Amino acid sequence: MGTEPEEEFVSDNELKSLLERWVAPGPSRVLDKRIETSFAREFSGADGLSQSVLLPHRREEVVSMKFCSVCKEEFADKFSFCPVDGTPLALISPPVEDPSLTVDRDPSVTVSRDNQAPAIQNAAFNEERVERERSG
Amino acid sequence: MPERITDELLLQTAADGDQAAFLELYDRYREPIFRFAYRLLGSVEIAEDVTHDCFLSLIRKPENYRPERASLKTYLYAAARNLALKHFRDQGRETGLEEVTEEPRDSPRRGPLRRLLDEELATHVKEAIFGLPPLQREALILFEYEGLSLSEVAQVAGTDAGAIKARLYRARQGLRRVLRPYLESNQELNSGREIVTLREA
Repeated sequence: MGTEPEEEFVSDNELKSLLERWVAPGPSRVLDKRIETSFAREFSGADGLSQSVLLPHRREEVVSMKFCSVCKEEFADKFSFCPVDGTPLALISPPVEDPSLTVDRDPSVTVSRDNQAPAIQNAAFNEERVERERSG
Repeated sequence: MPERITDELLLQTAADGDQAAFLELYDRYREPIFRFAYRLLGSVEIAEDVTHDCFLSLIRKPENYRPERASLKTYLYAAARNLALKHFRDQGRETGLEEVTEEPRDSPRRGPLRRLLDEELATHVKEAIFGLPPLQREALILFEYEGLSLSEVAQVAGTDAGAIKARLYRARQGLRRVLRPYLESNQELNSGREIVTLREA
């Protein structure tokens, strides 16, 4: 492996000195906290999930929905009023004991009523409506 | 003076759920692993993801680490390397890094613009390293920046020391070619600093 004539003028030390110009930042405190939390989750036995991005286990989120009593449609939790008719929306508590109602959450997607378990949700909605009517 | 607890013992204890042991291990190697991932990937965010997953995989599958084959540090570098490669594959890119293979423009800067010159030099060094083929790049980063020996770099990359030596040689050649104008200005800058130091003295 020969050295080209023009490269003879650049020694290893000179190159090393130049390479040292690129200084890498250190890891942030946010990462430290994240690591700590992930370790605690791994051994807590609560859900066995982590905040991992590259490893296969991903956190699932429970979808929380709101219901419009006028147009009978469900909307994402971020809405306070019905985007269709302006009626105040009632919160439907997600039945956390039923794992079939958990999905990988995409905040840009509004889940339609057809994708949910109607019996459980209607019951939750009815309870909510009775409470609202009682409170006036 | 208390004896330093070995990595193996810490890992064994951490795998049983001892958080203090795990954090001690993390504290020992967080900086080199993050630095390596950052220099390989060029992004703080992704480097943090890689570092996170690297340490998490350690406690999820501690049996994958074989002390008789390599040190824990070398094992962690290899794990970080694999996660970085996985990231590249997931992104559907061969290297995942910007191709910067053009010769840098000659820009002689002097005197009061020293800080600017330092930043510019750092940028060009970074770009020149990212312009290297991935295998040369990782060899250079591990050897020059992380101070690993040839055999350690070979263990991380899963090859022999001869191959690493050849990769390092080609990497240095490539960098010399691309960084030549900056090597000259770096020398001028350093000689300027010496003059300033002499005058101050």
